[in-house]
Amino acid sequence: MCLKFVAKEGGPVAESDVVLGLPYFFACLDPASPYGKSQAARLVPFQPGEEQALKEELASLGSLLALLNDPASEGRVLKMRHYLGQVPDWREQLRRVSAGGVLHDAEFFMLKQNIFFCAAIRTLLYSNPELADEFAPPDLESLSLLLDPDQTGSPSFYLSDAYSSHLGEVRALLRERRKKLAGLAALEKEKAEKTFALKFNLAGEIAVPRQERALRETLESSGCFVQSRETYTEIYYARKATESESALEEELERLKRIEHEEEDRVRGKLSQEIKVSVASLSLAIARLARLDIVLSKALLARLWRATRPEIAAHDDPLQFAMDLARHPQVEDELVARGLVFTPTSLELNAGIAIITGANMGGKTVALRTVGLLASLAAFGMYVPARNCRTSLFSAVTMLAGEYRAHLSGLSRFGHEVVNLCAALPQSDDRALLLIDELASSTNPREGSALAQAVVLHLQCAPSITLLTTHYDRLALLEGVVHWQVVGLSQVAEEELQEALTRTKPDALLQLGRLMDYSLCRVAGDEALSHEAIRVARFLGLPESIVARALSLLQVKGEE
Amino acid sequence: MRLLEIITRAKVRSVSVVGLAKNAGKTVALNSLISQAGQAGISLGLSSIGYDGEKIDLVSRHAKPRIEVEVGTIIATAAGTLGRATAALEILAATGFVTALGEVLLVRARESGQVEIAGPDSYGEMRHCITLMQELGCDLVLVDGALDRVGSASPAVTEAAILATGAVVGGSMRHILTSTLHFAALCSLPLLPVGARRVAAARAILAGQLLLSTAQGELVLPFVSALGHAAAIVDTLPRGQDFALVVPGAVSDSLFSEIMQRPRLARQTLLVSADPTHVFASPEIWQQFLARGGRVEVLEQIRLLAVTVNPTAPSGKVYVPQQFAAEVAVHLAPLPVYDLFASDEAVCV
Repeated sequence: MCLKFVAKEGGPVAESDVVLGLPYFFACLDPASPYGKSQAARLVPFQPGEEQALKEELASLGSLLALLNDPASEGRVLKMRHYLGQVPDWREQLRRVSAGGVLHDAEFFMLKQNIFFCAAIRTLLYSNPELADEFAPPDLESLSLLLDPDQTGSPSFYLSDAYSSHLGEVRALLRERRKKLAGLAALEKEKAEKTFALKFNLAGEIAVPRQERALRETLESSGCFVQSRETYTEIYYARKATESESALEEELERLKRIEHEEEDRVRGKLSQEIKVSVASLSLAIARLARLDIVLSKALLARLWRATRPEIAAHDDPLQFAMDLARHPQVEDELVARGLVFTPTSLELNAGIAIITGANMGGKTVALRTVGLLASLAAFGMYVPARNCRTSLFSAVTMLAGEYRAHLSGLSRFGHEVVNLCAALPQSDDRALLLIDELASSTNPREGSALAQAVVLHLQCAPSITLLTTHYDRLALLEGVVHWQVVGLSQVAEEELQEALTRTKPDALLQLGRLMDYSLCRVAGDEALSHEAIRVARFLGLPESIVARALSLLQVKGEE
Repeated sequence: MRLLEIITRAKVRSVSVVGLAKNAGKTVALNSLISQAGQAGISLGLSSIGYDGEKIDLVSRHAKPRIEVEVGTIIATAAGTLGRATAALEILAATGFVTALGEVLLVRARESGQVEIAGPDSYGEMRHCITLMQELGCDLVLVDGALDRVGSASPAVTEAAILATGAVVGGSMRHILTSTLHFAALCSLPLLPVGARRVAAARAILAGQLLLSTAQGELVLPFVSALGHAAAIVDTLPRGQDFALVVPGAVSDSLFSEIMQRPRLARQTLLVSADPTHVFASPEIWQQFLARGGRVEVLEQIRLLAVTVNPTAPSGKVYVPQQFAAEVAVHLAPLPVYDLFASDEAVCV
């Protein structure tokens, strides 16, 4: 089915979803935690029959949104989001520890961070017990104590002496022996400097010029020095360690080894103890992921001024209705160019509906808005509209002829037919099929015939089909609901003329200002308005061509 | 005066130790500072900077070099280096900066021992790590600069720098002195005076724009950087009037050469760079440019506190230590020079 935005993490994105703008929704969703991000990539829409579950999901979103919109609790919710953004990903470690692996210090530290943020989020959630039941991660207090044996309350991690008295003893011994060795070395060095009236450099060496043979012999025969290196001009001597120094050094090596072994033993023991809590840790991660997703939806709903869609019951007739709906991606693009999006309203029932009207009148955007809203609702997301009522569809598919046709190796028409074949709903499908400019890329005679045949075929399916078209005849077919873009039809000729002469350079802007993008339902026998020529003229087509086109149209009409 | 005292008297809280070449004695300088700081009871922060493959031995995947740390020292290093430390380390915080050896963590030595340090890869991240270490209570943060790269000396990263130079830098005493003096000279390049031009230059550098400033006004040139476009850039420069060319990023040898190839252009030229670490002129080209009346000014200077020398090169080339240090010290005076292989006191001139 097309609605699955991404089959698996990093999988291909369906063409139809791109046209509808679903990737834009997922990009805007932007969960904060690594857990939420993975979950978002695996999100699938609710299916027909899952209406109740969807309603519960929307209710959860609603309660978080209500908290966000209440100044008294907004800070609390934003803090949760901040914490979610700080949580390091611990899933790989969870897998390893479940399989009996031993963790290293940085991984214990990351676990401690996870536990810390879980606790912080729990505290915030428990201000609203009904939310806590649904979202709060489990209590991980025992793990928290395990990783903080000194009970410092600090988020840092250290293999403390408290984990093993043996470790503490070895470390104390190491400290003591190190100090003793340093003291001994300093003493011996001082003694040697005094005896031989020489000074050691910082590397603990004495440099003797080669020509000073007597001194070299004294040093060499003393048994206290060894030659460490030589240059062309000097010979360097280092002090030989005394027996007690060597013994101490050996002991230090041995103790260091014991310390490392004991540290490894403690890491193994800690990992074992963490393994016992794997189930609660998995649950914590799942809860954080869910909270993150629903919270991201709520934040986006607030940004988009979205409302809760009403979900029609499974046994209600198939339906879709939107009132003052917006397409956020198109709206954002327009706003970036200093323009305004005109919301659209539309009602659809099982069967066929078509949208006709002026070029540049927003027919395709209306189609994309219908598809996006139906999809968003199925993903448990609020929708950018004043009101929206929708059934759950088994598939939401949009066919846009020109999109990516050049990549498929087919002509635009070929690409369209191949996609249409794949999208034609089965006889029992509760699908929403959106077709932009059906069969418009072939000759008008055959194109019109094909379009009519497809519409007649689809009339038998239980699904909803919405098409945009320039083929007049489709509107006259039995049972086809006809919507029309108001377009330029209400604009007086003089006003158009004035706008034309005044504002050639920003024709698009002026066209946008004059164009009425709203849809109105028309009776089957009402004539279609022909605004292609007006729009073409607006966009700068030379007047001579425009005049000829108008006269040709008149001749054809008279014929 | 000992090297640490130079730093404490300068009242700086972060210092990078940069080397003119590998084996110039950077690690010796660093270890000496660490031990002096330990004796003085200064709480120390340590990190290193570099790019993948430079600070990591790609065969053994070990960060180099190993450094001896005292109890309480805070280190910004990648998670992958912790397992090889002999010092017992407490992990304090994660920075979110990821390197080839894992995320950079802030750790504290709870027992003394050796650590490998592999800090963040970029200067911006290093700046952030330094701030974090200072927030954790470090009085002084020392940054081990990358090999052959002096970028960490940038005033945008650390407040001051110490330069390590030595026999390894050149084939002859003259060559070594030239390279060392050239670096020291660049550190104190004149500052672009306060005024409208400085404001415009700072803005252009921040935005990554090449800016031409003349008496008539300012013009952004359509080049992303000066690298690879030197000839085209120089073609657009005005003739017969003084101008300043603000260069974001590297000011390379080729830009200097191109300017000098045009008759009388150098004497009208003022090149402006963010700081001396972005000026990559060889000593010869640099001298020629100055001789023809060219000027370079910077937004910020490098505060070079001292120079350390290593009279020995791994190739076997060795200078007589006292003579070598004294020769460098005479030329750099009044800048203090240290031969830390011999003594921790500055070389007397």
